[in-house]
Amino acid sequence: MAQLNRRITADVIEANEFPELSQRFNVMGVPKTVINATQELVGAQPEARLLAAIRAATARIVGQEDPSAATSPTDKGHPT
Amino acid sequence: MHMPFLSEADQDQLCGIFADQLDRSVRLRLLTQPSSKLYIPGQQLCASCAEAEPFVRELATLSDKLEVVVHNVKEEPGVAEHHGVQELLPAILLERVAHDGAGDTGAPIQGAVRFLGLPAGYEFSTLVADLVDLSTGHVDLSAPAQAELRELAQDVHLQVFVTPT
Repeated sequence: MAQLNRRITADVIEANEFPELSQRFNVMGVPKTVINATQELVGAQPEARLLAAIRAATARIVGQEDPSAATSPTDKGHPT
Repeated sequence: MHMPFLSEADQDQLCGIFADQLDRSVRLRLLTQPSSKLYIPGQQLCASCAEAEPFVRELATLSDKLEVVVHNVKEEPGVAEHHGVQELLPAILLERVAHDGAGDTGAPIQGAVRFLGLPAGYEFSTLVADLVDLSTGHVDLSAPAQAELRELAQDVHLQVFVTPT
């Protein structure tokens, strides 16, 4: 997918090696895909679901919303 | 000396896959840091950095279309930020090598596939598949989806969390 557009960056993250990042996105099951830190998909998903999530993630930017105001359902802040 | 990561049978099989399927050359750019036996409080430990370089170099011996560039982030301050991986080490960035054989410019690339943490477990097959896709330009998406993604005007950062088992 990242081949199609230079704007797309795809990270494959070894969850066990980066516990802080995994906790931040509340990774309980894998694969879990997080898009622009705001949209989340768990498990292998059909193409249509992935595209819909990308549209939702990019729509926030188009709408000129403050990205920091967008709260992820799993964003519980820092544990300490 | 490190023990090989791949059995001889696996190496043979991968050699065959790469020989059959790789087209253009692909660069594996590894960002890593040297391992230390000392525990320094406050310093970020890199769980798999010691294995990362021999792993990548072993993989690249299996095809002359695989190139390796290794950056030691301790010796090259700023290189991790330059490539946008910060403290997430080891990082393996997959890059298509320019057709004209131009050298490694070291320029950060957007539109990248990056493996953060050592992809030696379950996602090793993902790494192999991504190397082939990048080399051949194959994209496993429908034509309408590809068209839509080509037109994206915003940055999209996909973070796929996986585990080795």
